[in-house]
Amino acid sequence: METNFNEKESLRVINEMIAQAQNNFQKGVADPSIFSGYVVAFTAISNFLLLNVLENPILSFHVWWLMIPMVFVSRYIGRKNAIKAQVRTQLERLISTVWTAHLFACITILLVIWSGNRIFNTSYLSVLITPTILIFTGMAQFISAKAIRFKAYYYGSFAYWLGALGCMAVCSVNMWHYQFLILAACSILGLAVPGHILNKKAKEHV
Amino acid sequence: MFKELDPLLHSQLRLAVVSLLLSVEEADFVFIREKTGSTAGNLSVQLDKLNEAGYIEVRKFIDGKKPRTVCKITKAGIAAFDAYVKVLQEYIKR
Repeated sequence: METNFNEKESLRVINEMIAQAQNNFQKGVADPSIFSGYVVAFTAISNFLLLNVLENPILSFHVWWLMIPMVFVSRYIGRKNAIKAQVRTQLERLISTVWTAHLFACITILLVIWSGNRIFNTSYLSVLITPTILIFTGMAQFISAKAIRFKAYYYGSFAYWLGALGCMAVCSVNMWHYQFLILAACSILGLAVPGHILNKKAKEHV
Repeated sequence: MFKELDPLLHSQLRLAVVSLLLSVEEADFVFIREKTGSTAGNLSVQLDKLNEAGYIEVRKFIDGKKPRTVCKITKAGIAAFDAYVKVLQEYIKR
């Protein structure tokens, strides 16, 4: 049965529904982030261990080819969850765009640093790869935090930025390989843990 | 002279549905029912009315074994809502 109602009630309904539409996180919204966080952490720790174990330590960097399947699997998880989602918002599309930009930025910085190494006939520029990627990831996380107003993501972004500074700190004492442990820690603290918190919040909201 | 409020939107549940869909890209029937606090039967009737008027798009499909209904506001729906709010503002200023 329909209810006719007056103009003030119309406004109330409109405001109430707009409020209801905010902060609705779909179940499993953070699954791609959690997956990526753990995979990056695992890869970083593997790189660190292989550096100390392999006769030719340069070969240890090949573990980072894992990032290619990781990106595809992560996107597949996100798409699968989106299909099952009860609601899809413009914000989710924006956040997806931010992380796509992050991916392209990381690929670009890798190419820039490798080119720089060849141009200047050095390998020193490689120490900037991890801190730069940490900065980019912190930025993407910060924008996501602002978009969905989620505090844990703010803390995550600052974990990444502190990690970037930490990477240079370990380089300064000639322990550059510890950058990978910092990267692993940042991936867990900055991506996986906030992702778990967001998923828990999603279960409570939608 | 005050314009008449769109009778299709000047209904609590239909206005709630359109307001909700305006704020999201698309929403499932279950989500709309939970947020509007309506019954499934009543919501289904109102969604049909909005769909027939071209204010919303309704997409039905099978997700695994579960039937699902997903709704999205159309450009006509957004325009109708804009017009409704403008008339509403005139009424409130009165």
